[in-house]
Amino acid sequence: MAETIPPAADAFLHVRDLTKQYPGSPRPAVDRASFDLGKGRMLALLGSSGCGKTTLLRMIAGLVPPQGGHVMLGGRDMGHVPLHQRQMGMVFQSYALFPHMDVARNVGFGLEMKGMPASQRNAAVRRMLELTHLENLADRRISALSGGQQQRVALARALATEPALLLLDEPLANLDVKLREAMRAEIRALQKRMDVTCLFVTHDQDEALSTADEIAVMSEGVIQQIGTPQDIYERPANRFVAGFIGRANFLPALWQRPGWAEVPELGLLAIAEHERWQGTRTLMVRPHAIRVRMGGDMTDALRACTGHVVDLSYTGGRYGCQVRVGPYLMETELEAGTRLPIRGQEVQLDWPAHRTRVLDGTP
Amino acid sequence: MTTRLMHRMLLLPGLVALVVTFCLPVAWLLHMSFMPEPDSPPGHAAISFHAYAQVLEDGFYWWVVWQTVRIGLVVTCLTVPLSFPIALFLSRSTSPWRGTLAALAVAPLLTSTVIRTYGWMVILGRHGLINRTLLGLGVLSMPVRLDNGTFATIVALVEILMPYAIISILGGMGRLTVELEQAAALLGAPLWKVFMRITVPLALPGLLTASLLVFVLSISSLVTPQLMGGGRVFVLSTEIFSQTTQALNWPLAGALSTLLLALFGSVIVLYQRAARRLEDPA
Ligand SMILES: Nc1ncnc2c1ncn2[C@@H]1O[C@H](COP(=O)(O)OP(=O)(O)OP(=O)(O)O)[C@@H](O)[C@H]1O
Ligand SMILES: [Mg+2]
Repeated sequence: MAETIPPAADAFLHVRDLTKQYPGSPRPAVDRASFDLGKGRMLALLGSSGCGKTTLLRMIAGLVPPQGGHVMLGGRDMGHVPLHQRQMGMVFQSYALFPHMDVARNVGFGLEMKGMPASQRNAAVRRMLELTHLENLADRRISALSGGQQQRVALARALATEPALLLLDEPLANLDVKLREAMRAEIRALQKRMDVTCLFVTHDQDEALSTADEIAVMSEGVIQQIGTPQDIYERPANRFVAGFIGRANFLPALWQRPGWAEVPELGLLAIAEHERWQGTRTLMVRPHAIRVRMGGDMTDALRACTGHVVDLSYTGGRYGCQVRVGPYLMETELEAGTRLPIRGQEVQLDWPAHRTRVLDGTP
Repeated sequence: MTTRLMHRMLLLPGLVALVVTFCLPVAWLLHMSFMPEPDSPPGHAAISFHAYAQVLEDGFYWWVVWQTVRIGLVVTCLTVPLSFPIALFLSRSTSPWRGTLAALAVAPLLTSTVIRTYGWMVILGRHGLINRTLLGLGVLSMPVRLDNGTFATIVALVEILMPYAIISILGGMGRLTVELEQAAALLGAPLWKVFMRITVPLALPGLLTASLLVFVLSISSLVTPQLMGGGRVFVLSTEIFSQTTQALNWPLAGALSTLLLALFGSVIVLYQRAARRLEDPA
């Protein structure tokens, strides 16, 4: 086994090689997951259903014993720390609110366990309820709350003890779009305000991109890439990440000479000068990087590829435009209000060489 | 209108069965308890409170009622706590043997109470398993009496009633999930606090139902106190039995049965109060 890399100097949460294979399963649910997270930062664990996000989160929380690897929080090895001493707040996907207690008692439960005297506790609970806009619901029963209210109670309960680490398992999955966006902003504001380090699981890429400081993209139990939203979107590490985040066009390409690659049945495409490889690789271009031109002013025929519009669809504020170029179907975008091509019209596509990303493997 | 009528019609078969098998016998029982003494001259009086007067005046019957309630309470207080861990284990287990284990837990219901009671006689008897083992090991020099008494009755009743308790506890744990306990633990609750603040309160409906069932079944049991008591345990059911089969004093047996019914009724009222309080803590 490779030697373990020491934690980064500013790492608050340090996760190394966490592995879990459920009995009777052919492959690990989580395979040697490693990352570091700085204090006060928010990491989104992003991946499709069944890729092991919940398992990884539960291993960090101590709810699932890992088969290998370790977790350190604030320099302390969490290996043998019992649940009630971990100082981790968790919002479960099902919220896991105590049905036999009212809202205030739910929120105050952690403080009560800490042994905080009732008067002090009531004040702290009231403050948490105000922060989460629940002050009018303090003595409601849990079953008499809406989904969004329950979610806020779960959040208030997890934050009330001022945990060192906040873990959120798809907390917004059960909410409608409007409420989801509002809650997303609220969680982010609370997290920044209380300066709590936070890990949240989601399968919604927009949520991850817009909310988190860092994103870890998971697939089949493996963390594929970890980085800032810009990194992940602009500089995906591999074909999987590029395809998972946002929309993208993929073209097979052979390196031809510095600055140029050959796409079979299409011709030469400009690439960055420093790129160089052997065999077939994949070129990635985001739809919004592509310029669509109409009317044959072929100023730079070499850089552009010519194709025919196959489909045009309005997506709110902009149009998605599919163009067939040789054997390839390219996704492009057009601003609403610009001159639009019609179906079947001939158009030229071009994009700056630095917007082309070279990825390992064939498309 | 017609659909409502149809719904009521659907109740009819059950209602008929209830009237024939429950209401009529109970009415007959009540009627019998108001009959005059068996050896009084015929045509004396249509209705007599003699049997009730006899029950209320005789201190022995008060003692029997107390004995019945006491055994019922002790059996309940032993059976429910002993069944709770088993029910918890069964509800948590993810092992492929779970189904088998659950079946094993209720398997004793497949054998008759008489046979299980005899089984306990074999274990607790003067020359039974326990005495022989202890004598053989030299712990005892003389066999101790474990059978024929209240102790033996309670032991056997607890074992016989545990399957019922396990089933009703399992049925009443719907709101209790492992996730709730994990949430409490992460909020700083050590194991015993998780148990007292989350596990027990959320299992309470099941515990309550189990208590009711075990109590009612234990105060109405006849075979076990009769056989395990060895004629030394006097409870309402054994008393009713001997009045009907030996003393042939049917009015007295009827009055005692009515007393037992009243006892059931008051326990059920208590249970419903507690259940309502659970549902609406305010
Ligand atoms: N208790 C378990 N026993 C066996 N297999 C499990 C168990 N829990 C999860 N798995 C399997 O492990 C894999 C990862 O599950 P996990 O719950 O971590 O996925 P996830 O990424 O959270 O998915 P989702 O987005 O649907 O919640 C899945 O293939 C799942 O079937
Ligand atoms: Mg999950």
